[in-house]
Amino acid sequence: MPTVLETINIAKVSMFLASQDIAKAAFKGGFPDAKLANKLYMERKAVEWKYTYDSGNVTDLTKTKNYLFDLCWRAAAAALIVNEGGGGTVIGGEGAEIGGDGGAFEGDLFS
Amino acid sequence: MALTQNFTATQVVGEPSEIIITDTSTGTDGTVTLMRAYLTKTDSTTLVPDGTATAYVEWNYSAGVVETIDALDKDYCLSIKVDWLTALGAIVYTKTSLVMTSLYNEEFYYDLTQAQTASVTLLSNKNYYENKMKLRVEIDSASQAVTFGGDQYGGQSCLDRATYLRLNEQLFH
Repeated sequence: MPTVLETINIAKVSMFLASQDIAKAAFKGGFPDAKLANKLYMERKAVEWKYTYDSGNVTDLTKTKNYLFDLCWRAAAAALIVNEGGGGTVIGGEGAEIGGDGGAFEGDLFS
Repeated sequence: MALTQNFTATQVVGEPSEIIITDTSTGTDGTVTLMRAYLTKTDSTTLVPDGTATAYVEWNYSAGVVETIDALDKDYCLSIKVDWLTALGAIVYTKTSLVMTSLYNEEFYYDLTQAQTASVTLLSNKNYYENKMKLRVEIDSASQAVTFGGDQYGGQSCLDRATYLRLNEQLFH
């Protein structure tokens, strides 16, 4: 399993992948969970907060980190993007969603 | 050499009622012997620990001194004014910062996530999901009001809505 920090970064990319796939699925019969990107944001923020301010409590964090990882959409693809250094190529190739018009969590994606 | 006055206000997880004021001034000034902090709320009243007769908290100054003030009963956006004073009480330096405390609500929010690890279907509950999202939005909005807007009243409004969600857990979560 990835570390807490790796999971947080994977969740950030996974949220983006989920929002992309949710948007695309609108034309293909729907996505299994239309709120998944929001859920990833919510749970990632909780784990990130604990990791930032109270990372000494490893038992706690391990459970919530694993829970967050289980939520991640296309976790393997997200991990690959994280490991390749942020995935500029992938995001650039996908076009405008992350550009100027401001997705709901655009500012948070790689912050 | 004069003092370039500065301070930080922080919190420690597990102690949401406390706010820790740390002197981060640079330089020296032999006339300064005391520090004083006013934690001013949006209604212009100040927070002080129980039993404090003054509207402020005062402590002895030394470079880098740390003072823990146990006075928070919920999350606040506070205008914190710190004075550096002489032994006779004359203000030599002063600095004011807008500070948001969020430990009560953030700890509660994390507790919800912990509960979900034991009951993974919780997040599929529409009512639970929507109220947890509201809590997240209020905390984030308070932070943005303070960070980007310098807006104590807006930030406090967000925190009060978050506190309402936290204190009425049986209705919302």
